[in-house]
Amino acid sequence: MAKKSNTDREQEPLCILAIESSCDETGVALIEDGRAIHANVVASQASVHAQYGGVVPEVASRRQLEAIVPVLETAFAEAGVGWGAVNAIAATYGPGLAGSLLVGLTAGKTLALARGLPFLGVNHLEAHIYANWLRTGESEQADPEVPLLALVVSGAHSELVYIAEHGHYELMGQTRDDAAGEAFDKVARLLGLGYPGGPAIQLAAEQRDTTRPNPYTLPRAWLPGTWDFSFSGLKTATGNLLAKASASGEKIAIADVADAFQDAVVDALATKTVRAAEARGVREVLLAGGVAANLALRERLKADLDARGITLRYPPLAYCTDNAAMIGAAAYFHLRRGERDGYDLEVRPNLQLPFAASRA
Amino acid sequence: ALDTSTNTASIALVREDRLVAELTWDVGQRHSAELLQRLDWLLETASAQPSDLTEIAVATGPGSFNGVRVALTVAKSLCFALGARLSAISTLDVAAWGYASVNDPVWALLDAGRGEVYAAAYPSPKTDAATWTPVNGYLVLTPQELAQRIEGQALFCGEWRTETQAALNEALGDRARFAPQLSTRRAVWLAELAVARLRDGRVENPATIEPLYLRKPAITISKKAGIPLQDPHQPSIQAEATASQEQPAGSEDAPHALRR
Ligand SMILES: [Zn+2]
Repeated sequence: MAKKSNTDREQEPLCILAIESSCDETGVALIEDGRAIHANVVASQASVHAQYGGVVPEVASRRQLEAIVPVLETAFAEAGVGWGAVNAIAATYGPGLAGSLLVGLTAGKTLALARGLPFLGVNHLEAHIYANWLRTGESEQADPEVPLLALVVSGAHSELVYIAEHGHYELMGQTRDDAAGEAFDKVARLLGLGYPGGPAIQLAAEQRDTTRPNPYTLPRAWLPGTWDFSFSGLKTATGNLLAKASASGEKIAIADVADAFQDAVVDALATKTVRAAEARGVREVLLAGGVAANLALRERLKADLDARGITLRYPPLAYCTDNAAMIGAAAYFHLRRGERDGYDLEVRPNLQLPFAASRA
Repeated sequence: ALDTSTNTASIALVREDRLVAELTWDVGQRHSAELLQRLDWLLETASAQPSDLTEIAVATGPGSFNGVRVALTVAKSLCFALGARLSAISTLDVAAWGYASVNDPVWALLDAGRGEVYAAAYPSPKTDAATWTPVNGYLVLTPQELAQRIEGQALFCGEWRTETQAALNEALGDRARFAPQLSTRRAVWLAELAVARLRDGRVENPATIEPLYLRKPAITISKKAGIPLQDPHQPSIQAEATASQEQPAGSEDAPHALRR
């Protein structure tokens, strides 16, 4: 059982059946007190969508419907428990693809109705942040402590969020064009590295001949005076570099370009995050979202923050990409506050974090 | 019995061959929000508990992809949570069953968008509920193509656009008759078919039951989760806003990878 903080001492344990279906992964998890993982099952469709170079919404929702019951069955089997162990149900209600969200949310509401359990809809972005509360290691690990700064980076998001306390978010900065993960996907395509782009570019960059300096440097858009990001210029610059090389017949090492691109993205994200952490005086920074799986970003941020006495936290790889365990973690804090949603909750494909006004 | 295949939704509660309660309403696109709310209300009205549900019947389409998926998700989840037995029946079978006593051949129609209809013809003389199936399978075609398949009289039931009725009238003249649009589908009809099939031991597996889509998915790349491609081999790629315009696609048969 998870180690408890002061807020939930003297309370019965709360075991949540959590469902995630916002895009092309179907996830079901059983999470106790927002931290202990009794089961976490993910059915991925990545191989299906790879042939299209991106996620096809109608294909994704068909696969969600096919996967939902087998994934539920596997999660209960993995936890080795029955319905008696479940105290509440949670499911993602946005943001994401409407047809995909619909399957997980409808399943969650139905299971709650059928078993007479409380139900809560979860914001997928908030859940990525709360993946940092999951106890994933062998050793006892302390909860992150507010105030915190979170960098949420995924295929759809690049946001710097200041968290004064649980559930209170302030959007400090965000991307003005492409999300970081989107930039990885687009450039991977330019380089012929396939989909999804993040892991493909990281792998290519790792294979660079490091006995010599990288001949290429790609531009960073600093957008001074803001905490915002921009990656579309970088994508264009990468395309121009490749076009020029092919016009002049210059032989280009893809690994060099992948490394230069990754370095530019990581530099922009890390530099602003570190400065924002110092500006707000936080002691911990949380890295969240699919791009948090990028090793170069993790290493750079860790080194820069360590040097300033600030702790960097990020979930293990499997909890950075979409999963239901993080849905159970985020749901826990809402359910403990007595929050519930009705059966009329609808999917919200464009849902954002509930931001308070930014201090800029 | 659950049917949210189109903008018209219907649910019914049947106990031992007797109707306890039924609700048919204009659900629009709010399938998920309204189905569960009203299912809850229906159970409460009938003083029933969810655990009283020992058999679930669901309409599998064709129809609105998302609408059909909502009813199937609810049916699958109820069976998973309660251990209920599942019966799954095509929405066209349900629409036609209400007119099973008519002497003319009955055609069930549902609007398929893009100038086409989903259609199925049912036998005359009638078979019984347990064997109620279309004579030539489930079709998706234009009203003109449909008219060419019809010899003699036909009674059309279900849901269609005024253009569809006009086209069928023009092609078939007096041979076409149309059932009133106010009695399109009722969940008790679905329940009747399901009771007969379950009595015959025809039980579906909630883990594997799939909608009757009749169309391949539209190949559109999500802006939210991927990249809009400029791939010369895939000229049909569009923005996500057009995803409801179904387009034929290549095969998508790669298996799921279950991982932890
Ligand atoms: Zn995500």
